[in-house]
Amino acid sequence: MPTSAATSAACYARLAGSAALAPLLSAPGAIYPGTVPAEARAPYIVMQQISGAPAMTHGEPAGDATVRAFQFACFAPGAAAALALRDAVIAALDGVALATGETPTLTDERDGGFDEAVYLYRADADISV
Amino acid sequence: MAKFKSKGAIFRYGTANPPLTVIGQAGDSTIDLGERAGAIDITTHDSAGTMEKMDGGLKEPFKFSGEILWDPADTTHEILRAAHDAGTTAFLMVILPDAGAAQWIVAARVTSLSLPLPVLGKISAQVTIEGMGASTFTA
Repeated sequence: MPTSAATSAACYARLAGSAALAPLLSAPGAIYPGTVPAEARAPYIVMQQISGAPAMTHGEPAGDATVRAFQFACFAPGAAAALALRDAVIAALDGVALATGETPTLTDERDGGFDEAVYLYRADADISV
Repeated sequence: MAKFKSKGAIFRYGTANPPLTVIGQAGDSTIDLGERAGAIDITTHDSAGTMEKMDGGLKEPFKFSGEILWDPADTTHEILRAAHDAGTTAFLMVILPDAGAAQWIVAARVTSLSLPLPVLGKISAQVTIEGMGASTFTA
């Protein structure tokens, strides 16, 4: 089973290589695992793993998670742009096999509204892999 | 008196007595030592305190039920599948991870084997192995 890092990297590569997603971002590769650089400009995506249940058994190590969930938080100056960015993330990942051989599945999507902390609109997609 | 974690319990199943094959990737499990039949009411007009019961006598055999993270290519899982398919009676051994390795052995059959397949989950099997007679316990 691919490691968490490998799955995360495969998700990143898919988004970074998406022709549909590129014009919606402020700059090529404005997809940030975990934290956003201070100089980053919106629109951008912040991705992070939010869950992963180990497969515990009596006699073996738990090993890698069986199902992992990744959150893609899409930030943009306007609500429509944030939602369009989120929908592009979903189109790029949901049901499309990754380089690791895994196939992501959309498990939740949310309109996060206006985020006063960063003064941007936010829309999230949770993808399980 | 001491306290022990249950992680590390060992489940063996096979035709040898004691069985040699350790069932791999066993998850949350329960062993049922067997329910006893309720007492039989034998109250009569002569019963002291107007109530009298006798031991029902019957007892259900030892039973294991639990989850296994199923690997169709695993030989130990195939032993369970084949035994269930054929209705074979073999031996079940359960060893607890306590200091004394308390254990039960019983002649038993795989009476139920089901594979739930949740969309967001793991491939696992729900297995029930029921004793066919008295079990032997060693503390």
